[in-house]
Amino acid sequence: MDKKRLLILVLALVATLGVACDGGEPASAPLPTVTSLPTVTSLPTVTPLPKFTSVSVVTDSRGRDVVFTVAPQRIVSISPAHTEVFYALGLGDRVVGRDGYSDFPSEARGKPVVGDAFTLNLEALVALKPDLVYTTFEGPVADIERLGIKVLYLFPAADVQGVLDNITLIGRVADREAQAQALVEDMESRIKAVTDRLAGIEQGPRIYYEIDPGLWTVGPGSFVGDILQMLKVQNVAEGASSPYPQLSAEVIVQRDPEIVILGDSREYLTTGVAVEDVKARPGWGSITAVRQDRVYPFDDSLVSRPGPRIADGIEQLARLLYPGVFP
Amino acid sequence: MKLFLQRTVGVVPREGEAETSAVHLSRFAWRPLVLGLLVVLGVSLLATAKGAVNVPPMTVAKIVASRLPLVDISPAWPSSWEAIVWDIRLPRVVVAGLVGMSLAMAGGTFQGLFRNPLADPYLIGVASGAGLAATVVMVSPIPLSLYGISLLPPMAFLGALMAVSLAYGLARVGGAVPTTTLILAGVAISFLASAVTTFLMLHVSPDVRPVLTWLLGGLSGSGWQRVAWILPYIIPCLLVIMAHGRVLNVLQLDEEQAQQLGINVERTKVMLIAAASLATAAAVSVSGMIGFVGLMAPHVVRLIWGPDYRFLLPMACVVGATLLMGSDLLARTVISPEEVPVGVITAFFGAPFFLYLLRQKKGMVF
Repeated sequence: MDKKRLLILVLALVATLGVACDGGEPASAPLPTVTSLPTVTSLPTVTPLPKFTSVSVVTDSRGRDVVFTVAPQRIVSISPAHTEVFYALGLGDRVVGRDGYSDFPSEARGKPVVGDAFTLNLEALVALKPDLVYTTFEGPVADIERLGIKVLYLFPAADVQGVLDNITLIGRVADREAQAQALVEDMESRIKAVTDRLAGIEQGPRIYYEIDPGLWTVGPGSFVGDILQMLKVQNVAEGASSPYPQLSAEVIVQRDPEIVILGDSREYLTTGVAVEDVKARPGWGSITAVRQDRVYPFDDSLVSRPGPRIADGIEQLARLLYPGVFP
Repeated sequence: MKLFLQRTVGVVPREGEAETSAVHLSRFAWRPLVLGLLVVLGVSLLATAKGAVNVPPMTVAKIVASRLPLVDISPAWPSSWEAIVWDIRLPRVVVAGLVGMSLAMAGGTFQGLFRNPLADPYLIGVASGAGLAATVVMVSPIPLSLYGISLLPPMAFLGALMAVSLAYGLARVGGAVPTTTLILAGVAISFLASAVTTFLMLHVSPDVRPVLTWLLGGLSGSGWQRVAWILPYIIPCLLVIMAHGRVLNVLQLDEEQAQQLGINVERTKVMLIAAASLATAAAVSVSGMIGFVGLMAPHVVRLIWGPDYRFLLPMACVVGATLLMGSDLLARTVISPEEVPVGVITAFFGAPFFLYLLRQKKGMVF
């Protein structure tokens, strides 16, 4: 009984407080009376609007339309690949924030970090007053939109053509169409030059592409796996059921790669492995790549990020895989 | 307590009679132990014969035999098979057996020592200490290997021992280390070490995958080097712990009563904690954190054969080794050429079996 009475009392108190908060202010404030109209001394100067691009509508990966009437001026990129795209299109000075993984080009490292797609700091994001946030991960999208900030959320490109299309799209919404076209044409021609030179090759070397010392690799269906397929190599992960399988050491030794590409090399990652350690792994001494000293460190971010550097990545891989064809 | 005495000592004290008066120990059960060792042998043979790559069992036997002294078999198999069987598969099976054994033994010891059914080998900070040390090595410019020998196991080992020593030192009150204080200190240090590990992973090196892979545990990459590295720690620990089965039985009564029965409780505790931690540290240093085995293997023995520590400890070793070797065999083969993390297999197949035992023998867990 006592408890019930107390509860009622508390509820009543809360209700009164609520009413007081809601209605108190307007009631007590005197109504503003218009005495005289302000005289217009000068017309407000119109700051020149950014060049009006034709209205672009982009359907994002949730199927929603994002409308661009003006090119974004303050961009926060929560995708390392797209930080690279913005810089490659000459929009570096419009990037006002980035995620913690966006480490290329080096000028980007000077930009404020807003966390990453999984641990986004919304306060830091709002403080940067962005007019566009680019992300490839759906997680934070609703939270950002609720703050009234425009978000462009697009899945990472699934293949090389997707990367080129994505660059074209960003060029269009950010008013950098010419630059985007030039970049895309350059990338296209460089990639075509590589594939053209491989036209006469039926089947390339057997390779193992490591992305983690736990013997995680790229299989068919993954972005990098498809680039390898384009380069006509025989991937030892062939037949794996997932795009990023963890292989058994036995299988790697049995399938005997002729070339080992270390995407997890200590040369490019602090937590990476050294070539010597890979060669010293139990049983690896019998692998052709180890015997012939063809275990190569490789900057995985060149091909694992669906951005403007994939052409560099493809060229570098081609040189490692076909030293005879690409001297 | 009554139940315990009935199972270990074979005598049920009558109402009112002092429980400690029962001293006749039941006959040691050799038969299940010998049978268990045969099962271990069988599973290890099977695990060596089977794998992602199919090598005919006879060839496997020949490859192994050719490595034995005084046996002369000229190799008639591809060199990759020899590498697979001798350099990859066999040492991996041996490491699985040793790690499973160590974890089960340490788990059983801690459960007995702390009289706590939830105690597992990682309870007083071993795993998180090892994890922190391994993370520090990975994110710092310290080379991961020296002259081709990986520095990760020794560093993880040191980290594990430092964490346990710290917990032990902090829990020390005068000459004694109260069990509850030790557990709480260990748990607190675990949290502290995990917090620092997480911070290092997220803010020092953005590429956390290799650290996570290591922390998650697994036996991939086990070679003879790892066998040679853990064996010198595991064997003495095994002997020390096995020699204390009887003492652990008495300790189940109460530390005070054990003291009155002439056992130097504090010295026993130091010996057992050191041995169990050393064995766990060795295991963690090569395999990361593999869950379930250390917690469950002793309970499986307890449920089936009763809580006599003289029998429970060796039998838990047998069960732990079998469980981990068998799980790793499945981990390597179920979705070949890919692997499943071994901890997933141990829990996925171990937990239902354990629950079945629990239902069968209700109320007899501890």
